[in-house]
Amino acid sequence: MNRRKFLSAAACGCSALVPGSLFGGSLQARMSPGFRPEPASDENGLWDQFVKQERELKRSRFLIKDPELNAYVAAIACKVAGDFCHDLRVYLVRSPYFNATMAPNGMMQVWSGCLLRCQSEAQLAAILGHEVGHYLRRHGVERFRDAQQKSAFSTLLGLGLSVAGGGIGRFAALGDAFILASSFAFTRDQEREADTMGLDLCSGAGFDPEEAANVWAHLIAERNARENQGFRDLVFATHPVEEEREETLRGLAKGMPGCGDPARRGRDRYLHMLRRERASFFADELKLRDYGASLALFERMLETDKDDLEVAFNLGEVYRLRAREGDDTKALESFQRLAGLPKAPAETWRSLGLVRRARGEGSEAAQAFARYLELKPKADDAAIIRTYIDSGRTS
Amino acid sequence: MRLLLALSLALVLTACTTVSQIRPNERVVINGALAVQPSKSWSQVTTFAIYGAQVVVWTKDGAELNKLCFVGGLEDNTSIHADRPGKTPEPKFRSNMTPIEVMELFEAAYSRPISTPVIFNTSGLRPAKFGGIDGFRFDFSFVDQADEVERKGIAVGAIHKGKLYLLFYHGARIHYFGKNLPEVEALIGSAKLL
Repeated sequence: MNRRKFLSAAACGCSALVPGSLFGGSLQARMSPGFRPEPASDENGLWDQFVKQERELKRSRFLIKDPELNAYVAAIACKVAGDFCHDLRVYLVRSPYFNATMAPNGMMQVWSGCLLRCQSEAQLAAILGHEVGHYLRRHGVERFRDAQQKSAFSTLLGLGLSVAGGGIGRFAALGDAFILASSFAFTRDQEREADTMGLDLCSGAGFDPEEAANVWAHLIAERNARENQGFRDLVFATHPVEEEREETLRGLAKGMPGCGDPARRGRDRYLHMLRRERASFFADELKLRDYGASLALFERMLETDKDDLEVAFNLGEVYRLRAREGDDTKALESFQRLAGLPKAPAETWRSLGLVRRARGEGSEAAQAFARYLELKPKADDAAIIRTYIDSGRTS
Repeated sequence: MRLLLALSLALVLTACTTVSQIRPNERVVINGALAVQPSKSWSQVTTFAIYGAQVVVWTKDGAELNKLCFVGGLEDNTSIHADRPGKTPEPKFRSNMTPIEVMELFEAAYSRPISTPVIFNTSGLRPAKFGGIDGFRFDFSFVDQADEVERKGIAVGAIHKGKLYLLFYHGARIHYFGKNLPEVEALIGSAKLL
């Protein structure tokens, strides 16, 4: 395992597949506010590594710059972390997958795929609370110490196998898989703790605790809709851990104040804060071409708010890009419905034109493209669109 | 023992990538479908990969610094990159695609993370001649989180007899992209679809 891989593993990703909390009751922080490790300790060495990584992260082109959104997410993290607010730094990172990480030194990363999927402030708070839980329980250093022991054993194992003359690469990979497998088992306990602690923190900070379970319900729906279930899902197919996690979180939330209270979700404020970045998050999601998962995601978003035009447009885009039999009709329905609404994005007519053109409906396509250019005369693709209008009118 | 290991590793690595010289002023035919005539020498980089791509790659200063790539006649319902087990299937080319849709396909093919996320932008799609027929051209830029180097690129292409032909060039924004651009433009001018 190289340094970068290890550091990312030690930073406790919250998307790991783990069952729900089995602890019940309150867990205590294993540190006081302002905590710093002993100077000569292994934990201090680990912090130093993350301090260096954080320096690199601050220069990264993948950081989302929007000051208002950054301040907003940091304020939620602060609310959830309470007295530990000043020990944490939140970084918003552009990456289309659902993930957030917490490093032992208080460097938290929230990926844009996570921001896109959250439907409310309380859902984001649930994720942040979970990550704060990792920090307060000092899970990073626990994993570090465990991995140190395991990697020493793996080196021994790898040496023995390579002396035996087998394929070096294959055995090295087996060694990594061994570490990975045992790290998973170890991490599940930590994830249960982080779930429990996160739920307490969120409820205490005034958020609807049930939203934590809702995050998982949505991820499960997306996972089930994925067309290619993938290696990871094959391995864990017999362990419905995400379902367990959702169920446990929901059960725990039931006894907490504010459970199921829409006033404690902050949906409108959340979407308002996301407004400037959301279009790029949608574009990144579409580029993954993970059609089944995107459809499940957008349909769920529309169930919550059927008038969200940005989601409706992107749902049509999934059908247009997938272009399987019957998809053109579904895309057409989506774009036509949108085109009838006063606030539809100009790109609706561009996409409508493309679908019409693919169906061989040249003159209707030309009309749609012309409307697009009327609304957006300086469109970046205006030159090529004009050729479609000309060819459509003569077809 | 260590020497033996190092030697085996070197052998494995050298077997993975081969570099051959493209001589100046000699006509080169890519995949029997796209002919170009470079005025300067290039290196063709062939990397053995189980999940390979239907792309021929040349470079001037090393593949990390700049790449000139050719897709020579991609057939209907096939993808630029091969599907990988456990990964979402690659986006497929369809013969009836418009240039907008080809650009979207290109963007998706090159921005789906293999290991690290990539920020990929395309712009300036416009009609252009390619290989003597009506085609299109666009610009692109991207950053891979693996090295965070800003890269710029241009792509030209056309659909001819139902097959996709693309020529694209990209390099590090600082120095390496611009360095060979005039040569690439001349090479685009020499392209013929066969």
